[in-house]
Amino acid sequence: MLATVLPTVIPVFGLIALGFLAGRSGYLSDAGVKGLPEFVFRIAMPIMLFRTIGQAKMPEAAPVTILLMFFGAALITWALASIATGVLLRRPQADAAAFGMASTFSNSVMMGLPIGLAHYGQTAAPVIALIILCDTAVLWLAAALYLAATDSARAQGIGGVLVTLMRRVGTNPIILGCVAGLGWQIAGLTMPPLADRMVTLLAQAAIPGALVSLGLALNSYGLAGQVPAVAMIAVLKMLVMPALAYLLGTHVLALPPLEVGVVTILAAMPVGANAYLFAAANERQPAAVSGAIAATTPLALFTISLLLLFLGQARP
Amino acid sequence: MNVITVVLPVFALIAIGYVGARTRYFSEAVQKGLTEFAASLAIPSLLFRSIATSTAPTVSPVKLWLAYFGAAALTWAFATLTTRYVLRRPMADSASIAMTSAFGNTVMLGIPLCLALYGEAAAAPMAVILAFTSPIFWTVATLHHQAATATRERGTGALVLTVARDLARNPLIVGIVCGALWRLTGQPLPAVAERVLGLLGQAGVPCGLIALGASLVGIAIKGQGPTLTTVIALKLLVMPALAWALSLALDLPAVAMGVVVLFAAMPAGTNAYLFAAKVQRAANSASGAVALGTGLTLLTASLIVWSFST
Repeated sequence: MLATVLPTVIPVFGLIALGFLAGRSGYLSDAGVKGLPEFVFRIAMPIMLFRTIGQAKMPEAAPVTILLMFFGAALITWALASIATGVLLRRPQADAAAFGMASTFSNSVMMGLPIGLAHYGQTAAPVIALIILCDTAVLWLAAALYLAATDSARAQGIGGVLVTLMRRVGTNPIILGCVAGLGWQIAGLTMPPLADRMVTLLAQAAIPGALVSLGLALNSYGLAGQVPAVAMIAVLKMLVMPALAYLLGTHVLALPPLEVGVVTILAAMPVGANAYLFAAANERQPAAVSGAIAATTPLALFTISLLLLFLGQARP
Repeated sequence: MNVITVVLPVFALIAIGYVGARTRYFSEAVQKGLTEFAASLAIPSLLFRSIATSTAPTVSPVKLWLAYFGAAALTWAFATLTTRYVLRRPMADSASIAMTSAFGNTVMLGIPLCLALYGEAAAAPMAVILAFTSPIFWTVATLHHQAATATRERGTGALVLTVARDLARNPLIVGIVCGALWRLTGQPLPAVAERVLGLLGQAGVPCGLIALGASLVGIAIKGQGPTLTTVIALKLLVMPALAWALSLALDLPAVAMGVVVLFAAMPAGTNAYLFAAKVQRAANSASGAVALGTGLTLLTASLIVWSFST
């Protein structure tokens, strides 16, 4: 049984482990550690998203219901994280935003995309793209609103928030790749063979580059922070959020199995790097969030294997 | 096989790397990081996997070496003589000029072109040549330079030791040797290992090409006209012509011949420039040969690919 998911999961974690070891041992220098992720984020990944989404079939379900499934689960998990911050961890509510972010922000680009595509094939691409697009936008909106609520000196007006948001979304290469792919798809264009070969060649580097980059980056996250906080984030992120997403998708929204599976996989991803950037920028619990990234990424080997096993059986 | 679909995507990626670095769309770290990732991880994995799983009939390695290194040796000799008698430059410049005329960018540019033209079938002949290019060229160039300048920093024994150590540490060679050893065992690669190596390997070509393009930004087209023209003509025209003639004389099979000639036609790469800069001889010409030669290869490689596919 396990043999059905291992060919999907082991190469993904194998490349992450390889990146981690290459960075730790100094086999790749600091330039490699900086340059490879930048290439992946600015060139390879946007091109890969553009190509994959541009050629994939659109999902059956309405985009709104897919988003409801993912963000519904995220919202409930965020609320649980806020409550748990006060009740279980006995920490001030000012920390709740960082914990909420860490408990809900998935590593969808570097890890969700490779695993979703490996398990479901190209058909998963538009669903993943939809969530990546909104995830990033919602994250920045939440960050701006949080700042507005807690720090009036650095806060901007609503107009300013929207302008900043538009600028960040409009210049983000990952988002541009997704949007261009969706536009291409909707316009029904076909790629000239020559351009297709070029795009394919570049896109080949995206997934291996992303996984090795993720491994390299893990070296900078120490297993720091207090055990209770890290454990709380891990449980919420890896168990509660995917369970909620699955229940919402199957029982409330009655989505088709493909959509349910892809969104649940994305909801089950370990904590993404943006959660750390948010915590560090606002000086709220960066150690705990860093610890959560370092702990949940390897743990995902087990949780994702089990999830794929479960989803594989649930497939019609 | 359409020439355009083989050659153009390769050069388009180089152009993207160049423009990206020039416009500062990405930082300088990208060029260093990608070069390192491609040369230390991705391309060794690509070679390991293709050699370990290759089912292509083996061409006699000796014939391949004779064709490629024979052409290189003749070109080297021409370059040395030209330095002295045509360009009238001091013999001390000859090692660096010969290196720039004979040592092409087989890894970052030769591999992508051969793979685009022949697919996996090119892997075995490429590996047979690649395992020896870097050590042979560096050793010969170092010995040549020591002889021409009558300097002797270290004895020959020390040099051999250095070369052996570099060989054992060169990831490209380690990948090739391990792949060959695996193939000798006759075992198929475990599916998971093949998938990991395949994923890493598929990143090698695009990362190498983007890095190559980005590296051209820091390299100006300079150097004296006559020297620059000589090294480019030797590298892009004379060496592939010699390799072609030798391949025909040795009766190499089609794919092996294509690989030998394309490899021989590759423009000077960063290695040649690094050598020239290290010995501080004709470094400007080497830099010009890398920048201008890489651009001109779009034409010469197209011509070669076209003749081999008709």
